[in-house]
Amino acid sequence: MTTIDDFFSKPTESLHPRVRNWKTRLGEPGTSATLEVFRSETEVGQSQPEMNLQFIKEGHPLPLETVPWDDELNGGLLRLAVKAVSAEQEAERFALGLRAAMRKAEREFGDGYFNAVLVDLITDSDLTQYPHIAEVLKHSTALSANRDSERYSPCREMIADAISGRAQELTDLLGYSQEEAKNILVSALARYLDQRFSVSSRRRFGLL
Amino acid sequence: MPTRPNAAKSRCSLLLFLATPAEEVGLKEAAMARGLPFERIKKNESALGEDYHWLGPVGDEIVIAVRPARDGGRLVMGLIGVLGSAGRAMRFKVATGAQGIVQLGMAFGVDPRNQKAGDELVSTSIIPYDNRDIRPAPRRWLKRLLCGDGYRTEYLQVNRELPRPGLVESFRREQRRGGHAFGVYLGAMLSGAARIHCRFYRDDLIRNVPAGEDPIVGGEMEGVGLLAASTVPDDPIWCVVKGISDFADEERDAVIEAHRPIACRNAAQFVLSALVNDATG
Repeated sequence: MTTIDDFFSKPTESLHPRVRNWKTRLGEPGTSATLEVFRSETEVGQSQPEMNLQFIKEGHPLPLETVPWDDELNGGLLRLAVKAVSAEQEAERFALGLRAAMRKAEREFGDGYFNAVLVDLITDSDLTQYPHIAEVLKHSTALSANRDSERYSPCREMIADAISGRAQELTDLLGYSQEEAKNILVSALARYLDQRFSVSSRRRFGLL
Repeated sequence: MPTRPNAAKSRCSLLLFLATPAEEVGLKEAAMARGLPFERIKKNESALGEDYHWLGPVGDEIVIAVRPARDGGRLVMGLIGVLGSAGRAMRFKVATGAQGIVQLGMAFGVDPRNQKAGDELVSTSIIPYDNRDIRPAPRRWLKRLLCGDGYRTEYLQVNRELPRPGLVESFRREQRRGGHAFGVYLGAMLSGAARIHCRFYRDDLIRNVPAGEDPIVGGEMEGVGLLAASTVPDDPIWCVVKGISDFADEERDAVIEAHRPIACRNAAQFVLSALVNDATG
């Protein structure tokens, strides 16, 4: 029976039970894991993403673990230094990571203003030199950001923090080189923008 | 010669969904009162394959209002079918690139002692009450003899669905700013296909759907369809804002005609005010 004292004496590590399990397994000799993100394309956009976690023990793949995408679980896997199976998959994963990290600003400032500041920040940076980002931005639905507004600085800082937080996860937690991390981040950002502004979906509908 | 579709006016960040002509008139009046455009884009000029109204930039958002659906000349209401709110929301969301949808219009109130016609309801959750189990209800032999077999309705499968947080926050800020000639209630809204004309049924529904943190403030028919437009559960795109036109009771038909215009106009005024005031701080 659990007593109230048990809650006070629990270890301080507050990991999600799944992550705790994965951490234990990864601590076993000869064990590694990779992540694959699956999102099926539907007529009306992409479906709910899934995380497929592949453990390998002494060279042998163990049964695939599939769970619905969860930002907290992804955070746990990042802290366990579990990479995606390929650079493209890493970009897909980080597009979802960007979506989660942007949510706070999106909620606080509303979609319209968030869009405006997001596009303003990107066009104000060297990110537009990357063709994927430049192409998606052409089709964004953002108004010009009012830079005189009191909301501008906090919104811009929150967006910049969300992007640099992901950049640091790539280098510091997953150990990618600066060059590899840049390529993944650019691809992730292009995917995030594409999904946010329904660019590929509109193209599929013949609207672009 | 066919008119060329206007691609620039086919993109937006916010869709306003309208279910009835009265809601369309209400939005038109509210838009004109604010000096906003209310340009009808006809089907043959529309890149979206349907008629709609272009309001353009309103505050920080770019707004398109989706006209009530018609099949031939007949008005299509509710969530079901190709022209129901579910199918149209999915199509318009993808086609316009919108991040949010507000279902605008009229609803029933649930508290005639404190709410009044024209007051505004903002959904902090939707309760899709059509998701229910109908089971036989055991009856004593005498009642069964007199009335036949009975049944009971269970709402155990009903889950409250949460709207887009950014939209709710925007409307909450507008409620706090105040200055409206009507009351504003944020809370859960019953949403389903029934046109309710019975106080007993309304109250029974409120008693029997699972309780939640937010109180039930009203009910309507289209909001539940918008759930389908959110392709990922953790990123809802909708919110319902409706004016009270009736109380889903025996008086419904007698009062709804008189209250409909004010309910619809107030809902539109409230939403446009929220968008404009958010942008001006």
